[in-house]
Amino acid sequence: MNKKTYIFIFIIIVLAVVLSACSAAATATSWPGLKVSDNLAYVAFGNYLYAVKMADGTMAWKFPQTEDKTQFFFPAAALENNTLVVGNYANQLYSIDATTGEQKWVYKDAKDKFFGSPLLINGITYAPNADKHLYTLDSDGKLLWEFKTEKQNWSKPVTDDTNLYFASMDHFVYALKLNYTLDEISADEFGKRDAILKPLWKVDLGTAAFSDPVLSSKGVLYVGTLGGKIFAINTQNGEILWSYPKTGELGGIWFSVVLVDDVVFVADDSGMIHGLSASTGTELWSNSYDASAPNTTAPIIGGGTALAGNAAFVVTNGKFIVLNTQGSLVWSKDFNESLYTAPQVINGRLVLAAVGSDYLLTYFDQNSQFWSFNPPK
Amino acid sequence: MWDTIIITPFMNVLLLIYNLVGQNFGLAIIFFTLLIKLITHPLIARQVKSTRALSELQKDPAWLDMQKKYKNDKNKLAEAQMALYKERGVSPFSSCLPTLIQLPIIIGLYQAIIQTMGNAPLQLINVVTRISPVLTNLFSFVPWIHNPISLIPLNNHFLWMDLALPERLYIPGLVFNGVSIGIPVLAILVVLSSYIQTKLMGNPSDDPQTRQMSGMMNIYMPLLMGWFAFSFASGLALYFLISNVFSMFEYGLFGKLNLASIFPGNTSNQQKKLKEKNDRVRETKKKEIIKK
Repeated sequence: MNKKTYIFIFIIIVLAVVLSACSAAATATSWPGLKVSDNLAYVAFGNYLYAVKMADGTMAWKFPQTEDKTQFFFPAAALENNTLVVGNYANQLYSIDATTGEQKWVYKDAKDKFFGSPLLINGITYAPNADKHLYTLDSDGKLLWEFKTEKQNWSKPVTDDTNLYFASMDHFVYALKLNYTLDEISADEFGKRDAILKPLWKVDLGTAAFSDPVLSSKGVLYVGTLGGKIFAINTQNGEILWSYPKTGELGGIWFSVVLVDDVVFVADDSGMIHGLSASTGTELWSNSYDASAPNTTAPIIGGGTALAGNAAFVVTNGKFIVLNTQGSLVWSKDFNESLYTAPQVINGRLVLAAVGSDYLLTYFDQNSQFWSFNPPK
Repeated sequence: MWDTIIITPFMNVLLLIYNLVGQNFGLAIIFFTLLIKLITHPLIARQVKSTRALSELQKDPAWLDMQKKYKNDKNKLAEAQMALYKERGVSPFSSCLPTLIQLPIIIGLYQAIIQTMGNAPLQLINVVTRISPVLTNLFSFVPWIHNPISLIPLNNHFLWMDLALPERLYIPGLVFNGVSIGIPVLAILVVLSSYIQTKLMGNPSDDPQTRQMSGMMNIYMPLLMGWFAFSFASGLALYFLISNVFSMFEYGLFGKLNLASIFPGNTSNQQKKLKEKNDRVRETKKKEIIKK
């Protein structure tokens, strides 16, 4: 081989490597966001938000109606009455008619992606954004106020109808009022009068919180961190009631805990599921479910949901498992798909969003799979 | 396998440096590139030595004579060249081998940079699940070092850049049709540094085919690198720029920088001088042979 051949081979290798990096960047960077009502399931994935009829799994509408390759919808939509609010990776937050898919308004002033789902309550939208802000918009999409954090915000806020609680990637959980009077709203760093400068309280979790906090009826907030700790916080004053584990840490916690009776179910990215006492944080049991389902050592990212006195979890390797409060396997099902999205329960049955080749959405129970939905090409 | 051996360790080293330099990803990339350059320095040294030996051999009268003698018979020429390589103890592949060994390191380096900067959910999982506290524990005596998981999400901002996005410098008032114009400063610097690097580090040759090839490379490679820097994450562009600067410095240490060749006019003069020198050497050798 002469010098020319060597140079040619070198250029080909460089191009191959760089182009492979390009193709990797173009693939999906997240998993479907799912919200279910009695009549329709709303799944945000890729360039669209799809509304799928619960009756037969056919598509009712998609948003936007024409493809826009710059928009990526991944976070789950918020639903109240007949209004959906959904954010995307093009820094936009849309309000959509939940029945027809028609756009009501769009908020375009955020500076970064909407990774987290918004909270929609009494017509007000509370939307976390990666530009280190939580935006609060009225029912016409006008900014009421914003709250600045130190790092990105990916987790959905939760409310007890008086206050708002949300976890941030800046390691803190914040408590804010649901509504502020005009006197309480201050000027932001640029002199614009729309900022809430001081939270009611904040709690340092030590590492970033990606998962949505869960609020119990007793006013306790449960939140897991990427550093593998779970915290129970008194919403009255921000006091940490307990944290688990006391020493060391679990695998990273990427999704909400599941609260069933007095048991907190926590899944982590090492594939373990832990049962803790909701009141004391004492470990009741901890399992990887290898004994009954040997393939469940894959990470659990999407977390789970309460299901008729049990907790249902998805494992990234396609395993769906239902556990009782003693940590025993009640039933399981194998899906030939990657599962990252927590299932949703409707009428005692489950809707599951998957990342794979066979389908995006499926409706099933322990014995039957009723329909599957794949977006039209 | 590739992930376990190359990318995961690289990501952890990158995170350690990020931790040590006060959570600045731009500085982490600069120091990481420098570290890789130091590690691969013995390979570069070997490559330079081999290239020098090969280059010297190609100026040898015996080499030049066989080019003339077998100019119409490529097979015979190849046989004669191989025989001469063997006789002088020079391997034609010895200058390529270090490059081939470095290639996985370079590929791993920029894959690690791209993956560490990713901040979409799946990318973040990829980073978090690869973090190991082992390296950080070794440096636990440093007062400001943190548990690496607590560094997530990483601070991707460096100077005016978001290192996870393509770089543009927006100057207030620089507006066209109501749209702010962003200047791709880093891409321009990558093109310039790549051009200067290929010129400084290229070996002048009197072989027209090699000269033509080098000429093409000197133009296309900087443009290709510039296009990558323009289109991809600025963290990668920063790596290209720093790598170019360190490479030039490294070759300078070997005395291999061809400063006169930066300017286009100087190249042909230099080649002319080289050809004249080679002709003189050949004539002297011929006279010596005749005398004997």
